[in-house]
Amino acid sequence: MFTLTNCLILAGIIFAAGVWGVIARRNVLIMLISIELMLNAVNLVFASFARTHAGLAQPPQAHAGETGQLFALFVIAVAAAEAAVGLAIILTIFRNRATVDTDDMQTLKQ
Amino acid sequence: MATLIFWLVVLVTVASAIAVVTARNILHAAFSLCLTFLGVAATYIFLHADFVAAVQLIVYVGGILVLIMFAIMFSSNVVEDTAEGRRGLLALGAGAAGMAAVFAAVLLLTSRLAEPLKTANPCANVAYAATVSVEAGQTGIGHCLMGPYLLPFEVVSVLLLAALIGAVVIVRKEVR
Amino acid sequence: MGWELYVLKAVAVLLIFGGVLSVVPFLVFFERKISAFIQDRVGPNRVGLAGPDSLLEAFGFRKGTRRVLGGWLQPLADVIKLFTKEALIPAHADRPLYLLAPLFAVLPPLLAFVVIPVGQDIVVSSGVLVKLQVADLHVGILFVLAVASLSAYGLAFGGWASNSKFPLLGGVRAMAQMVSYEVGMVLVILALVMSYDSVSLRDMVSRQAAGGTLLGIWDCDGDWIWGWGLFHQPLAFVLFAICALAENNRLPFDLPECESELVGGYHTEYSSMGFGMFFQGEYIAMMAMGGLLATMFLGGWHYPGYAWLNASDSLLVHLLAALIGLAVFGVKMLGFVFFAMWVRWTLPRFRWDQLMRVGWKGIIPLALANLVLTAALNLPAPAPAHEKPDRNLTAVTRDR
Repeated sequence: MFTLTNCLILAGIIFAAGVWGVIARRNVLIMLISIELMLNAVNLVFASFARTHAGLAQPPQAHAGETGQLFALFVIAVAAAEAAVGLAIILTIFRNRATVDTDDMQTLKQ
Repeated sequence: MATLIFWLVVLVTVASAIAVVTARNILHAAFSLCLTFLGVAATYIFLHADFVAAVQLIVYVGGILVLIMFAIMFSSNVVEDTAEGRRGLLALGAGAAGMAAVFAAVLLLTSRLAEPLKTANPCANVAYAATVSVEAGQTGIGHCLMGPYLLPFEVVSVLLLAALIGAVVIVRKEVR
Repeated sequence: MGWELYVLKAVAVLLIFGGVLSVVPFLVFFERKISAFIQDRVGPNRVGLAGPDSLLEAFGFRKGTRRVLGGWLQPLADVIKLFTKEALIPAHADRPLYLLAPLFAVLPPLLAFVVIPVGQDIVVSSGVLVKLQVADLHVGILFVLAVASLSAYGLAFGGWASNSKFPLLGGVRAMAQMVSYEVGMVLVILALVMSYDSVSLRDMVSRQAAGGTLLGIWDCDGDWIWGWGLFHQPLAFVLFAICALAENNRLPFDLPECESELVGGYHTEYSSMGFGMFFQGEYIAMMAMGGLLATMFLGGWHYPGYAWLNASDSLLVHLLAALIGLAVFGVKMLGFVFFAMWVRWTLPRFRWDQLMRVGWKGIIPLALANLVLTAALNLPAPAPAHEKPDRNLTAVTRDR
């Protein structure tokens, strides 16, 4: 069945997969990819709540759930900025240290 | 039929999302991520958010993922991931536990949320009815972006410009 | 609205996809013939029907040693050859990605055809409408852009999965090139969306067919061709044609597969139908771009005299008008394909830095200027009659 709850569970699974990736993997690129997964899950939640509330509203106040979709769009835009800067940083690190493993990026700790 | 397609989409999305995390080969992870993005876009279409689905494809699949693949191909000795071999099953197990915890929290929240929603909102747990026109949502987004949300819209554009310049400055080789 | 809807859509999809796929071998043949003509060669002239040739010979029509109708069955021979060759998988290739990549090269351009209206609506009887378009999506042109962004992956994954130097370089080049030129293309299309007031390709065509006031200053007669996008967006037309060539990796921009540097680029390691699908994908993408160009700039299925023909009450004349429209659309689409072939065998290839310079310092600033100009010209235009702001505005105020 195509319901709000099911959509939220789907988003939850995707978000959890993203968390899993960030915790378990040590490759910066995979971690970045996992963050993108989490952002996607959040967008999904926005869109499904927008859909639900659009279905709820009665005629005088009827709307098509554009506010929720709008937030998803803003998140996508911010994600694009984040990916651009993040990848630039990763490439610079790789150029200087020839690694993308977070275990090798601990010079600040010591 | 639509229900069948929905479950198919869910299956593909979940399977590829898990494959993103578990893939040994980082390019396979990127490919799975592509499938996940496609699945999420399909879900957006089910949610009557066609415009968001199109933007998702254009920005995520056409932009972000291409950037990620660039980064993968430029740092080519990481294609076979050596780090995971060292940490092995332990890390993956810990990750799985973390994932289960997060998922349980989400489930809990959803069920907590479901009660008030069910009372306030008769359609929270019934299948979505086709009460809303997609077109209205699309024009609505346009009106909102040019109306009440004009300031965030402009701020996002400035943010994107700043990110663009920042990325160029970071990656550029130093010129003396 | 149950199963019949799905069946109807499936039939429409099969018709469009089948039609597109069956044209491809002939395009390959035409490309070889055209290249032969441009280079003053004969081209493929062996595989063909003996009958008409010997008939012509008997009547003395044979020109020198050239056979007039020879070679017309070459497409069939090519297809049989590609299908029956052994499909090799290199030993160190990444098997799943290697096998999936050709699919990614073919599917996205085919999907683009889903939203391109190939003909006008046919009103069979009152209320029964046959649309010559698989789906009129609300997002229209955005859908085309979305699937176009997918097609870079076929090349990138194919190049990477082959596990060989030259394909990898080809794949990286393909990605960089397609991303760079997609930015310019989106900017060009934005200007068009502004001037047509719609993202639906179908609305774009009907807008061009109707004529009227375009851009707020341009009064034109819809009956003749002056309503076409070509005339009120000439700069966008040129820029779009260039971007289309670059997106398709056609010759002045074919760095992902340039033979003199990269052997065969991303498909070097592919044989048999793997190669065949990459090859097909290129031609389908060319047709899709041609279809897009025809829809946005050349009036789609619209042709002079269409309104006069369509004014008739007779169903037969109505059908005839639609059929001519279909043919006109085909001619416009294949016209672009011919243009691409012509360019391919005329111009030399760009160098990599030149390609990037053209994209980022040439096309994008020009497209931005075009966008600003279009926006400025559109500003004083009165609100179109079909706009219904009331409902949405109440929603907006409520949200605040």
